[in-house]
Parts: sequence; C-alpha cells; structure tokens
Amino acid sequence: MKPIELESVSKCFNGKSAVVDFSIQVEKGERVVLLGPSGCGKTTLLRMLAGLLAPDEGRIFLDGVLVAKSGRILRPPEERALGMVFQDLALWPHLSVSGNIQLGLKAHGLPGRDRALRVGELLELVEMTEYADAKPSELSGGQQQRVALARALALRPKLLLMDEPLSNLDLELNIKLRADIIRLQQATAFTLVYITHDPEEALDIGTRIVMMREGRIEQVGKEKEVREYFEKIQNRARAGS
Amino acid sequence: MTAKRTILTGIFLLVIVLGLFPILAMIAASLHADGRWTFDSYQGLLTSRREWALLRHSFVLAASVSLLTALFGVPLGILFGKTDFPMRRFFTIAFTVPLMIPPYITAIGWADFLGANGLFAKLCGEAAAGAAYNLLFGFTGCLFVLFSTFLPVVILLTMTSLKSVHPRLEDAGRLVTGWPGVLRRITVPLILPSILFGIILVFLLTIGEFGVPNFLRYDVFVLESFVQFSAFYNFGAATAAVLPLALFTVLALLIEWVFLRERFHEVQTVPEKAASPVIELGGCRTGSFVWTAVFCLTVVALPLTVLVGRSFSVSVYASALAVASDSLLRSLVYAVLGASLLSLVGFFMGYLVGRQALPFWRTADTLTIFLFALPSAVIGIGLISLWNRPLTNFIYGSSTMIIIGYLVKYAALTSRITASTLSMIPQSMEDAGELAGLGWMRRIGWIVAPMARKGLLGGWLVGYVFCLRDLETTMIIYPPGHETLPVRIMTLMANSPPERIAALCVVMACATVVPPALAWSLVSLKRGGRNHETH
Amino acid sequence: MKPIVVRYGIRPLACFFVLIAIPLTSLHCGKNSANEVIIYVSEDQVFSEPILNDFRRETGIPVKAVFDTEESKSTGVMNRLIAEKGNPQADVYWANEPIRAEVLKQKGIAAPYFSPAARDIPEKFKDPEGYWTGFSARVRVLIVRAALAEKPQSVLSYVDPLWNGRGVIANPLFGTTTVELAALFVLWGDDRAKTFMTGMKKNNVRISTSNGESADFVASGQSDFSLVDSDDAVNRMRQGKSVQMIYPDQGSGEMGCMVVPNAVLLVNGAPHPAQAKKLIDYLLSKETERKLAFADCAQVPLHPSVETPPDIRAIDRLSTIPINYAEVARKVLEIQPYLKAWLGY
Repeated sequence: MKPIELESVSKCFNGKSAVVDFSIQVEKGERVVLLGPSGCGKTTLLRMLAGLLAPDEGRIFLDGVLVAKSGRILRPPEERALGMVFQDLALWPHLSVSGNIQLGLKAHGLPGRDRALRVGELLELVEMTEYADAKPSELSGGQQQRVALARALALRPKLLLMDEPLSNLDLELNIKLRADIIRLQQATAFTLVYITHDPEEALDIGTRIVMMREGRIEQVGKEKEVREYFEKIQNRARAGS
Repeated sequence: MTAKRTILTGIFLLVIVLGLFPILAMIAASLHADGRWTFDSYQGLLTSRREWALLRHSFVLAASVSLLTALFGVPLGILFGKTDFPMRRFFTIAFTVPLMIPPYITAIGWADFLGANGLFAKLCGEAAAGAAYNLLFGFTGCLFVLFSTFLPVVILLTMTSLKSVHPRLEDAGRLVTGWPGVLRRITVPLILPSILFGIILVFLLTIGEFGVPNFLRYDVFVLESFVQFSAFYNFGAATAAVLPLALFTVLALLIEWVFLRERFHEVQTVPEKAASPVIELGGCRTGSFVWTAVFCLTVVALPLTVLVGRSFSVSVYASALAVASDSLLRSLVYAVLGASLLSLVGFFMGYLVGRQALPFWRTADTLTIFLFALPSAVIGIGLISLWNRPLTNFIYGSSTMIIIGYLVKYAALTSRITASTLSMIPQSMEDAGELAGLGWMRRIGWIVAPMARKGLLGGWLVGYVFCLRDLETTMIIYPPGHETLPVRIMTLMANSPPERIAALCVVMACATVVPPALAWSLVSLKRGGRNHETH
Repeated sequence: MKPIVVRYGIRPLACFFVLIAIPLTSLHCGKNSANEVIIYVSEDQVFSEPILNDFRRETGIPVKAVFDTEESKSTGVMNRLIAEKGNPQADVYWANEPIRAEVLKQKGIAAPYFSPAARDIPEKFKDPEGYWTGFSARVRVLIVRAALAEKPQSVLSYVDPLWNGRGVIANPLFGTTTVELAALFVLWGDDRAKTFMTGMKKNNVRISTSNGESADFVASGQSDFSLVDSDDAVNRMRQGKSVQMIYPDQGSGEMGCMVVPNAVLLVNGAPHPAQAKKLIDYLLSKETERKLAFADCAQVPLHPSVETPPDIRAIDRLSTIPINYAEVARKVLEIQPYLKAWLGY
C-alpha cells in the first residue's frame, strides 16, 4: 500500500483547468517536491490531497484507501491522518504557541497531562520551548514557521503537506529551516509532499521532484531533470521575448 | 447531513418562516379579494399620479441623504481614522449619538429649538424663527434630520475600511506624491466599495423611514402604506404599496453585486502589527478642529441640548419615570434579548453569506436585506396574520412577538457585520482547524468566534441600539400592557406636557447611548491594561 | 499514538437549538390569566390611562392596554383589531369617536352589550342594536386667536373670503375631521358638500397633520382659526395661550355643532367577557364622565347632571348637528376617494 496514489486527477475552476490528468504514486518516507511557477496547480493538488477540495475527475488513494473521486470527498480532512503547513502559516492569533499546538490534541480527546507532554516534546523538537506561552504575533517569521511545523506534527501524521512554507524567509533562515525539515522527516519518518517554486529549495529537500506546468507533470526526477526543466523555461522565455 | 449544513440551513429556514412567510401571506391577501384573484390593489398603484409623486419624493430624499452623508462622512471618517486630529474618539462617539436614538426624537428637538417659543426665536427674533420653522417642516428638514442621523454610518464604515488598507500600498504612493494625492489615488479608491456600501445602506434606511417625514410633514412613499392602513383599513393596497420599495431594495442589491462584490476582495488582509501611517495635519489642525466642533455642536448637540434644557428639572424626570419606568425596563430587556438573538442568528447567517458556505447564500442575503428595507407596518401586520391563531396564541400573546419582529427587521445588520468580519479572517485558519481534527462547530467555537469577537461585539451593540430604538414594528405587535419606551413616548406625545416628552426623549437617548459607551470604555481599558502589561 | 478520528456529536446542535428556544419561550408573559381585561384604546393615553388605573384599583381586575398614537400616525389599534378578527386578543375597545366603532360593527368585530350604566345616556349617542355606546364627548369647535377683532362663528367661515388663507384644518383623511366632513356630506348632500370643499381650497385653507397641530398654529398666530376638537381648544386655553373657543353655528336656524362622543364596545369573541362588561360599565359611569370633564381633555358628559368645569358647556346647552352615526360611518368610507383627490393624492 503506497501512502499516496493519484489516478488521472483533474480539477477545473470556472472553466479553467488547474490540474489536468495528474497521476503519481508516492512511496513511504519519500520527500516529493512539486516544483513549478505560480498558477501551475501545485496548491490545488495539495488541497485535494488534504481533502479541502474534491477532484472533478480521477481518484485519490491514501494508504490504499479511496478518499476522493470525481466530485466527491469520501474521507474528510480530519480523518486522513495528515498534517499541513499553509503558505500563510494560519497560526491562530488568539492562542499561544502551546495553545496552537495542542488544539488538535484537545479535539482528539487527549487528557491534559498527555497533551502537555506531547506539546513539550514538539516544542523541543522545533527548539521553541521557551516560547510556549508567546502569541504568534510576538514571534519572528522563522519562529512562526517552526510553530506551524510543530502544530502540523502534533497528531503524528503519516503524511505532511507543506505549501511554500519558506517563501517569505531570508536565505539564511530558509537554508536552516530546510535542514530542520529534513532532520524532522528523517526522525519521524513521515511522507512529505512539499511545494515550492525555488529549484534550489526543491533539490535540497526533495528525494524526487515533480516539475509541473499548466496543471500537468512536465518532468520527474532530480538534478539532471531539474536542469533540463529550467533550460526549457529559459528557452521559452527567450523565444517569447 | 453535516452540522454545518444543518445549522446554516436551519437558520435560513428560521428567517424564512419568521420573515418571509408573513410577507407572502400579505402578498397573497393583496392578490385575493372578494373570493377571486385580482390585481386591483396594484393597478391603482401604477396608474396613480400621486403614487409616482410620492415615489419621486422618497427617491429624491433617500438619494440626497445618501450623497450628503457621503460628502461629509468620508472626509470625517478619514479625519478621525487616519490623522492626528485631536479628540477623535470623542467626536466619533458624539457623531454616532443621533444614530442611536429614534430619529423622530431629533426632529422633536429641532422643532422645539426652532419653534415660536424656542431658543432660536429668543436669539434671532420671531420672524427668523418662523422662517426656519417653516423650512424644517418639509424636504429640507427631513434631509437635515436624516443626514444627521445616518452620517455616522458612513463615518464608521470609512474608518473601519481604512484599517484594511495595507500600509505598504500607501507607503508606495507617498514615494511619488503627498498625502492628498495618496488619499485621492490610492486610499479612497481602495475603500470605495465600503463607501458605496455605506451609501446603499443609508439609502435603504432613508427610504424605509417613516417617523421623521411624517413628523416633518413631507409625504413619502412609506406614508402610502400607512394611509392605506389607517384611513382605509385596506391591507391589500397597503401591501401593494410596498412593491416599489421592494424594487428599490433589489436595485440596491444588484448595484452591490455587480459593482462591489469582487472589489471587496481587492483589499488585502492587514497583519495586526502593521501600523497604518497617520497623517499629520500640521497647520490645518486648529481650523479643522474648530470646523468639526461647530459642525458637531450644530448637528448633534443642539437638538439634544434643547430637549435636556426643556426637561431640566428633577420633578419633570420623576414624573416622566413614574409613567414610563416599566416601559424603560422592558425596552432594555427586550433590546438585550433581541441583540443576543440577532448576534446568534446574524453570526450564522453572516457565515453563510461571507463564506458562501451553501449554494443559497445569495438568496439568504437578499432576503435579510429585503426584510430590512420593508416598511415595518407591513412586517407587523404580516406577523399578526401568521401568528395570531389559536395554535400559536402562546407565542402571539407574549413579548416573543417583539423579539421576532426585531429578528425579522434587523437580521441583515448583524449578518453583514459578521460577513465583513469574516472577510478579514483567512480561510486557512479554518482549514488548519479542520486538518487538526476539529469538526465544524468546534472550528466555529474555538477558532472563528474568538477571532471574530470584536466584530461579534460590534454586531451585538448595533443590534442593541436598533432594537432599543425600534418603534414602527413594535407598535403594531406588542402585547397589551407591554409597550416599550419608544412606543410609550409616541402614545404619550398627544397632549402630554412637552417637558415630560422631552424628559422621556432624554431618558431614551441615555438608555441607548450609555450601555454601548460603557462597553466600549471597558474594552478600551482592558486593551490599555494589556498594552501596559506588555510594555 | 494513533490519531483518533473525530466524530461529530449531537450536543452542540442541541445546545444551539436550546439557545434559540430559550429567549423565545422565556418571554411568555402569563397570558390567559383568567381575571384580567384587555382593552385597546384610541383615546389619548394621558387621559385614558388614569381611568383604567382607577378601575384596576377599585375592582382589583388587572387591565392590560394597547394605546393608539395620534390619528394621522395611527396604524395601531384599529388595524390590530381587524387583523386579529379571527382570534381576538382584546376584550374591549375604547374608541375616541363612534365612526371607528361603527366600522368595527360593520366588520363583525363588535358584540352587542346594553350596559346598565348607559341607561341615562341619550339614545342618539348609542347604537340602537347595542354594539357600541357613546360617552364623554368632544365637541367640534372653532379655536380662534383671541386678538381678532372679528371672530369666525361658523364652519362656513372656511369659504368666507374674509378669512382667505387664514384658516387651517386637520388632514381630512383622518379622525374627527373626516367624521365632521362626512356628517356635512350627509346633512347637505354630496353636491353642496363638494362645493364647500372646493370653496375651502379656493380660500387657501392650510392643511395640518392633526387637530393638535391646528390648535398650535392658531395659538402661535400662524393661522387665525381652525375647526378642532374641544379638548384641543380647552387645552391651549388652560396653557394660557391667547385663544378662544367658539361653538360654531349656534344661532337660530343654524346647523349647530358636531358632537363626537367616545365609544366603547365589547369585542366579539372577547377572551374575558365578564371582566369586559365590568370595564364597560365603569367607563360608561357618571363618575368616569366627571373625571374626563375635569381632566385636560375637557370632555362633555352625556349623562345629565354630571358636574363639569366652568369652561365646558353642558350637552343640553348646545345646539348640535343631528347625526345618524351609522350613516356617517358609511359616508366616511364612501368619500375617502374624493378626499384623497381633494388633497391631491
């Protein structure tokens, strides 16, 4: 049973195709990066994986279970055992760092002591222990990022989705957090689907890179394929000018 | 069926049953007379010159009030919301006072001031007072009183929408032009949808207003419904008279959908920490302060001061409270209950509309706005027609009818306030909760409602003010012996000593203004304390 | 630790509906209390409420009232009575003129009741079938500026060129003004009445919203005279305004002035009929008439030999227009379209 299988998944918005006939299988523990320019369908794909959108056509399997098909979400997001880090992080401003992390645990009925233990564990993992009581507005961008990551890992998901989580950070912080993400993934063995438009970031994080254009897979691979992909982009740009 | 679908559909159905069914019953009655279906009630409407004249009056008055409030309200909103103007919080509250009290009380104050025995006559002579008094009774007076009543709508909407303009956009503009240019070319165009929405709101409020035009003797279309009711007992014709008003409402909504809906989303969500740049008035500070103070004194303070002055005696207030303290207490209780229910229903309705959560969100929005714009007499008679049955007597004979009247009439306000508040909360906040395993009700209770608490409080306060000051709806459906203070003032106006009426008006104004002012002060103190702790 | 799937519970839904239901049902105000009486009142609250309070004190029967507003603004009690016809809520209706009572009789909303307290009230002020009974009347009078050397003495002053532009009359679509005009239509016939109406317009009569406003115009000197109810005139006189009250058309051979009594009726299907009859008896008593005569409303008792203040003329000292109120009630509805057109509606 593979963690993720997409069969001919397509999605349209107002008559415009966002994802077209997308098929992929992701192995357990892989770090798959979706690379592509803005508007190529990466976020749409991620939201379909999360269960926040239904595909118009095709089927989505998680751990061998059919979770969505042709216009229907068969298994809602809270039942998919996954975590997600949003592009805007979506940290709840009225809750503290520990409040943000433990909300999901509370929803799952975990008693207070166990919640406190788990929160402590996660804060240590992301090196944010001393900020447990701080509000998100009091943190820097990188710190918020780490809290968002900790929150996404709270329920020990088997699959983690990340939507351009480092796009707003400076280069140094970006590089550092990439290393943190890889470290965490290796330590907790979740499967990662990661979105970016930065090829360096993609190469750094991904074990496999899926290059997208206009809702379709253009290429799949690693360094060599990424280089070819960007040569194509450059040629297109030169031809256009 | 999910909880979300159940609750949102349930709320929608509640508004339909409480609000739409009575109106449909009235419309059906207006089309069915003497045992047959007929358009007689509507034919007279379309062929009468008088009706067209009244429509013109209503339209001109509503359009004039809307434009005038925009002309003054936008600059004042910018002055209070974006500059270092002194005492801006005080002036914001002051200008809001006329909105909080029944408009006819303001009209009474002006009539007192300009009357033969009024202060104006003592200061400027009887001739001048007479001329001014005559000017008050008619279009000019209605325009002035309704302008002063609804001006705060545009001021507050402008101030609120200024907060949603990302500071970086203005900073970018200031690199190439001064503040006047930035305001003209960047800020105001960005907040234009809110301003236009304010204009539409004022238009609808004015076109449905009866008390002021009736008191100041300016014939408007809403009067036609009343005439049909009170002179002819002709419910069919009275309902038919509602049709043009309904058309105005639909027109206003169309304008909003076509021109404004998409543009509302152009305004970006501003991070809390982002400080909005403040315009320094410099040399203009004193002049603008003097002008604003004089304007405020004229428009707000004068009529209320006259009422206070006329009733300035302990014995007058004692006798006033002796006849009306029970009504005052009832008004407060009903207003609190009404506001609470409006907040609850308005929240879910606003969620439905703001998030476009279900396919019929647009119908729901139209329905609440339509009910808001309808003359209260039609709503009242419709409610009686629907609820005055042996089976529902336990509801009809109780004050529940008043609360239902409030709900039907004012759900649009709390719904729109919620929708506007939710537009500032990114969808990703709810998505994150969904992924964390929170069901919809928990997402609402643990994430959305706490984040929207300021908007919810604002909605509650707006609901409280409108419920407390309501007259026309309550007048028709209140159970015997349970009249509210606005109704009591109205029924006592005939042949009561003017000082007593003035005292009751002042009491009414205080009851409306003081609780929200206290609430605002408490919130500000709490915020100030929290800031103090942080520092 | 395996993630636990969230199951949605019924509790939040139930809580929600309870939250809606609580405010709605908690306002049930103990309706259908057996020993109470519900009255809808068109007479000004400032005058009627003390009477009802006295009834409550003297009998121990709680009174719940719905009061009307000024005539031109009224969408209140008459329409409520008509709308509630299928399931009456009120027991008694206190009308401030008998035409409303007649309209309700014609719509089947009144029930007959011959009160023993009304035995001495002249028959012309009662419905012969007992559907309503008149008491405590207002008289239609002319309120005139005291400073005038020559004062109008007749309703016909409205068409006298001497008073061009100096008269004011309340909106004829509402209240006692409609009643009086309808009475003139009955008395004179349609042609003569319409000539009178046209003449008023040609004589530039001013239209006010109510009798009270008319009285205020005269009191402030903006107009010289107006046809109003006697309580409006007495009220201004007692306030010390420079006005006089003239009973119009009192000369020999003249038509007399119009008397507009209050009227009380028992509502058909009243929830508390026994208490309703007690209240009706109380309202029709001599003592009530005496109180209303001495109150600021200054209403003329219809019972003989009831004490009145000096500024009110007793009913038997007035020359009055002979009126069949039923006929006038029909005429009121009949002339509405004409009056609308006369006003320019």
